[in-house]
Amino acid sequence: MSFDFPSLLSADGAPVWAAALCTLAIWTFLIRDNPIYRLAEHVMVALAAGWGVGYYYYSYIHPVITEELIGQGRWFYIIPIILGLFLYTRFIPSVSWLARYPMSAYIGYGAGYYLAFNAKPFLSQVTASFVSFSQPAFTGTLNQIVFFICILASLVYFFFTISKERPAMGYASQLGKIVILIALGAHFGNTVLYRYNLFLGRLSYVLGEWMGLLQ
Amino acid sequence: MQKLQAIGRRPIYVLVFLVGIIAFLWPLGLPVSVQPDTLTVYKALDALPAGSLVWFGAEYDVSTKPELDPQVVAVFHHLFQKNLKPVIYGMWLRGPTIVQGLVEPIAEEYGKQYGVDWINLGHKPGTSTNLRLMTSNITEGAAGVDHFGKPLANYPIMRNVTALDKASGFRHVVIAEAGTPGNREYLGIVVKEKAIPMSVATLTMSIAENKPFVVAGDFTGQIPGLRGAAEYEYLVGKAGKGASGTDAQSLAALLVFGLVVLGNIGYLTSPRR
Repeated sequence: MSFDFPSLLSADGAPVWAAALCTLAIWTFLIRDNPIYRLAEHVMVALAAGWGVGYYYYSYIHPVITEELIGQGRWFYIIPIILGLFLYTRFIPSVSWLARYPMSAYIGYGAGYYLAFNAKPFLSQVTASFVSFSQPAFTGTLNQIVFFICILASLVYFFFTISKERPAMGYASQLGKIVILIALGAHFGNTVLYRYNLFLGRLSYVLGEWMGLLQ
Repeated sequence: MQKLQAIGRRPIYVLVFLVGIIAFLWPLGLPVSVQPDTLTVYKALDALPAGSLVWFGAEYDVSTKPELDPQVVAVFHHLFQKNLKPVIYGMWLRGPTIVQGLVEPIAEEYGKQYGVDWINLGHKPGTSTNLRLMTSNITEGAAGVDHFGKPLANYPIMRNVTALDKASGFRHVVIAEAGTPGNREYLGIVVKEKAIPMSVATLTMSIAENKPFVVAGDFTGQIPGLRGAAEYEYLVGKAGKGASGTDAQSLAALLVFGLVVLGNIGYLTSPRR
């Protein structure tokens, strides 16, 4: 096992050095907040913002203006462009009220859009909970019974208008709480592993692509 | 015993680093078993006729590259092995750029030509509104240009493709997703309205969240996190970063398990409990 760093002055090696050093700089935050971490953070934010502006211009704004607005004569595009520019009037106090128009349009469209289209995916979740207990295998049937009981118990937990002092409701609510806690535990466990996987990805890069220790 | 409840974060960081380094430098080669969700995705793509278009949603950013990149690489190996034609698009700004960098070497390996066998429409603003536009008019949705700003009309793959629908030849949608916008938008617009089956390459964190959609049949399947990447690499016969990360992930799970147990022993033996 020996180190095999790429050449810092080569076209392929320089980006690897930059990426690895930025990763190490970010990791220094684990000790405490420090200027090296801050530098890497600011470089990342600045690069991302600059890159985004350039990308939007060349892949969307420029072709829409040259091809569609001017080329195909879609002059009505000027209306949303003007509305969009109104957003920047927030920086001029005397006409800042103009910024409310694009926001109104945006919020109105967004609310209507979500009401119109977002219900459909969730309805299939409801119908999917109408399970059949007659499965070919016993384990399948058992799974469906457990699934059915857990759904009912979880729903009972969220009945706030019926007293939980009645024994049936109380026990069902307790079971619902346990089911929800198990689900949250699974979610939490997955989240811990996910964070670790992100770290592993960078560690693999530092050990492999930069230090050349991995085959 | 009470000190077990007060282990500082720095010793834990050191342990986490050590476990990762050891697992990468001296891999244990732990076996990978393929889970049904991953296998379903593999079988669905495997059953598609050669030449079918597959829409690939690159819905993630640099922060989730370590988990999703290995999955994307494994899936594209499969797509090109089966002579399927991927069309990449992203509601996330940097998604298509990340995927472009991953796909280029794979396409070269299989002799696939950009614009003929695959294409990248790039990112376009408008999130779900623009995705909806894609289902009726791809040229308008993509502003007439691909990821590089070149006219779509120049590319043979786009000759008979007018919209993200079955009539244009799209047989499956795969998305690599890290949040919103992502699978919910595709589910409502593409799966429910256009009846195109969809598979999801997802983060470990989102496995439990996505499972109800898999059970309900909304998603064909899901490739679950780094482990899912290792499974898919095994299925396509291309060991990559998923497989190499599995050892480290398993050891990390053991470490976390041990720390949770130690913390609880400390709690249970605490006189203040």
